[in-house]
Amino acid sequence: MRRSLLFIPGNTPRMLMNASDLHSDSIILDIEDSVLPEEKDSARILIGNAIKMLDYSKCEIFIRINSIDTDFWKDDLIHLVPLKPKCFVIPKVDSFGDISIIDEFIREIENSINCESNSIGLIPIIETALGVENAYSIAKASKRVKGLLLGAEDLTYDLRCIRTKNGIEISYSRSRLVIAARAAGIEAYDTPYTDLLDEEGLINDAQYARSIGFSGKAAISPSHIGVINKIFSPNDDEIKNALEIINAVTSPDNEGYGVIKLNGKMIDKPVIQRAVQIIENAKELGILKE
Amino acid sequence: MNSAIISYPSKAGSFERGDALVEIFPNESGIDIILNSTAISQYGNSISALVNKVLMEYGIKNIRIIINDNSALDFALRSRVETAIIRSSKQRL
Repeated sequence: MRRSLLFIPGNTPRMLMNASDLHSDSIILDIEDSVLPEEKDSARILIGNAIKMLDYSKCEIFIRINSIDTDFWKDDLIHLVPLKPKCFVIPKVDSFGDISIIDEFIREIENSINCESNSIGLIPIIETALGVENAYSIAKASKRVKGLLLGAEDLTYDLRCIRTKNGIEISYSRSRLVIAARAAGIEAYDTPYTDLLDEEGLINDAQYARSIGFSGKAAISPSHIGVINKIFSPNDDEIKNALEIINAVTSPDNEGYGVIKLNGKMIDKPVIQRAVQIIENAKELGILKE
Repeated sequence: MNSAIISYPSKAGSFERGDALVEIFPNESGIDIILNSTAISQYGNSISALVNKVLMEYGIKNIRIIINDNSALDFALRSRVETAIIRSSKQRL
């Protein structure tokens, strides 16, 4: 499961050396916004040596490169594709074409270094109005696309609205992103909560994101990871309910019935599928033993 | 990696904790390493060994290099030396 995705500034050794101990399921080593233009070269080298020399086995490694409207993204990929991160996170993706260009460029590099094709995934960040409108075609643009990530700060700038704590201004974009991602058979990741001192706000924000179908949430502070992981994990009540459902449908008493009743509620195929998924997730996270 | 000739001064890194500020200069003959570190008695030899190893990998035989170390791990120190070399020799990444 990919519940939490933590941004780590790519040119700060102190942050890179502790990144795998922060309990985030994925870390996003960033060469975009957190690195000054004159330090992009330095960050590429630092990230490269960090991946080669530090132990990141406790988490997945993603790298956020610069957007394709900059002079940096090709050098980012030339330098970093050979390190085979799990995914590249691509900012400001507006259209199918943006992904096609990046997909093709990565393929050329993979072929030139005899790297297995399509072994590196892509996570486009949807952070413009055009990106939201094109979310489904972006999600389907390449087999490499493993999930969509919402970027609310740039998006609200583009929408010419104020970013608020309750997030009402991004409610449509959130729902649209989840539907586009799920329709394409990939994951959806929510935007970071940027108030580092407001834990209650973070809890509400993450609970809302999970309730509408996001699989995980990005973070800009390690202090948010515990809350995010907890909220995006199956809780005790969900696991108990899921086990009751599975026990009921596998009971010999219910054999041959397509739909059964449990505690006054109808149990049919989607309810069973959801229960199976909750149990699988709980097992994967070690909350429930085999 | 081809040999790199240090033709211009350059620098990389910072004084932040966990980092090192590396400055390099052309040198007429030989390798001069000047190391400033709070942990020089404990790690001075290993830092010098790592710097020499990187210089050898890049085929550099003449250089003056100043390392201002603030508890950088090997990955950070190596990176800052490599960046300074590449910047100086004007090689593209």
